Amino acid sequence: MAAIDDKKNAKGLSDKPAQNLVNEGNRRGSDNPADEVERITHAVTTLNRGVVTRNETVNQRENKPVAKKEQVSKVVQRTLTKILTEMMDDCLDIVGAMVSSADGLAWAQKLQPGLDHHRFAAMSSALLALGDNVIKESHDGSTKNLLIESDKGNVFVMHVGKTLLLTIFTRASSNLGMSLAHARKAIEEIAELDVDNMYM
Amino acid sequence: MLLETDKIIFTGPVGAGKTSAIAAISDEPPVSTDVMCTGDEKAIKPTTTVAMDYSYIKLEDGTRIHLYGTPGQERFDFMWRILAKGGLGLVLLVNNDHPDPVAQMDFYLDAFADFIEQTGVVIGITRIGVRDQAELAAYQERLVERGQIFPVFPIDGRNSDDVADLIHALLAILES
Repeated sequence: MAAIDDKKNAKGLSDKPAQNLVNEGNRRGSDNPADEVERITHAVTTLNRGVVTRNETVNQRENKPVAKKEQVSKVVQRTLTKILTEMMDDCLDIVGAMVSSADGLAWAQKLQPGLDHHRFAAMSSALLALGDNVIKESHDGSTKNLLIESDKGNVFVMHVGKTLLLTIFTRASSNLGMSLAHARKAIEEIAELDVDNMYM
Repeated sequence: MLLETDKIIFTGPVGAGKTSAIAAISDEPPVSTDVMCTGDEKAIKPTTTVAMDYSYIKLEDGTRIHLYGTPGQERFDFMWRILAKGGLGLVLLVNNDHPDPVAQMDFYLDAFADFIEQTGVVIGITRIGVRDQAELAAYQERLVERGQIFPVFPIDGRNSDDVADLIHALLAILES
């Protein structure tokens, strides 16, 4: 499939997301145990004040008149970006995050430099669609989240309602449970936008 | 000589009928990764394949041939490479209802050029008679311009006999 590879190179795209993840991880975090403790404490504290943050977001949204149809996606996109930014500020283990549609289109993203959100949106939807099938056929269940662990970092892909997905990228040394808790909080906030309603 | 591990890849643009074709020829329900469309494609059809379709057929001698359908959109081209790896040959479906279906055929022949060179391809033209945008001869003419000779069949992607004809044509090419 060299034809496809050549086309990628011509576009300036590359296949080195793992490398970027590492660099970003080093920049944001540290291997010092004291830093680690502070990081987790910070994460717990911010998680506990989650309810207040969420209510504020709702009120701001309710006061915002959404007049024109073409503006809806921009308003939604801005809110999504804000939710992602807050999640990453609250949990420094999360080095990148993206909201995309189940059919593989990027809606909002805060990704590590060099990562192409279009490609990751498509890959997230393919991954989760296969995960859904595996769980459906093996356990007759519905997927909560898909976790990929690697030596250089981890990736979670999660459903947000029926229309959207949340993908987060975490450092290799991160506390997976803590990252997941922050991601779940973000999912609740995103769910309040009721995006499903626009497409049902 | 075909092996149990052999697979055929179905590809082509959005709405060409890849998922329908694999479903039509399968005895059991295929593995499908269809999700609701949200973007511009919503106007074309309600759902789209995001990872793959998978099923298999059994040949007369009992050999099982695996069938993999790719997503159509270029944003899923990473799946094209994953699925095509180790494939026996390609079935390219083109929707004749598209504004420029011949160009669509060109695009996928180029994208899968290396794979086709190593294996083989048959081309099925679907949705003929809906709002025809090209004559069958136009596809052949373009292939001649490209210096390539591939079989082109008008098919109904929902008809299992039509899909079986494509597969048998592909297997015949590969064995010759």
